[in-house]
Amino acid sequence: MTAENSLDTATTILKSKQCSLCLVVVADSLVEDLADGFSQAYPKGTNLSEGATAFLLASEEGLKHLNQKPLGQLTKVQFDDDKNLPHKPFAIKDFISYYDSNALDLLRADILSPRPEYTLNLQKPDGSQSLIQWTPRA
Amino acid sequence: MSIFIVATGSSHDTDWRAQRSLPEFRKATKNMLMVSSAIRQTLGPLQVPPDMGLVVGSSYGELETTKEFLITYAKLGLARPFLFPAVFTTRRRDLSRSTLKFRGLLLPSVKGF
Repeated sequence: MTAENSLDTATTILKSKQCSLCLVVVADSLVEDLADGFSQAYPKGTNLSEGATAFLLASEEGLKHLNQKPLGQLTKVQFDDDKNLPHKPFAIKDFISYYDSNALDLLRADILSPRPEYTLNLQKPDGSQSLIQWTPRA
Repeated sequence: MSIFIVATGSSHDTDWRAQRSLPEFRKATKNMLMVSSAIRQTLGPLQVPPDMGLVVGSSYGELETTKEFLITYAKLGLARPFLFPAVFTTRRRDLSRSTLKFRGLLLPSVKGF
């Protein structure tokens, strides 16, 4: 839940007015020599990948400072053992080009998609789930 | 309170490799190069104010450097390379601080591994 946790931390920092702009960035890279260990730690069929994704988040004050139209508005970040999360059955296809902090990468893909879904309901290899919701620019 | 998504960027495959030849990235790990590349794409020409926060997260962490450190220590008994091993991360040389340095930013940061 590294990406979800980072996103949640950034929103907390912004909501507590410690800053008006917050850059969130997550990264995971593979180590060739540890490939056997990695493959054993994930469900069979998982195709491990690597990458980094960054998001610039802003409060209303930060947005005014930048004088820029937002891509959207982040409305919800839920993760871990929240009982209100909708159950998503395990599907190995969700773990193609997977890395642990890829939630931001998937969120970015949805935001830039011509037909966004506005909701990311993700399941992790360990069975835990997360939910990220956003709305288009006002 | 509303939280707005202003910009986003990412780094995959090999787009971070070009930075490796730059002098300022001489000691950078793959994570640092990818993070730096994603940030450059995200911020673009935006003027960042001094009160901007930074949250850096990595689930795997700096495994490559930790592995190299442990192998060298096991073989030679020497505690090196003393760059960014997770077990000996220092305030100035961890992923979040180095990322700020590489991007020329002097900001407070929170890291999450």
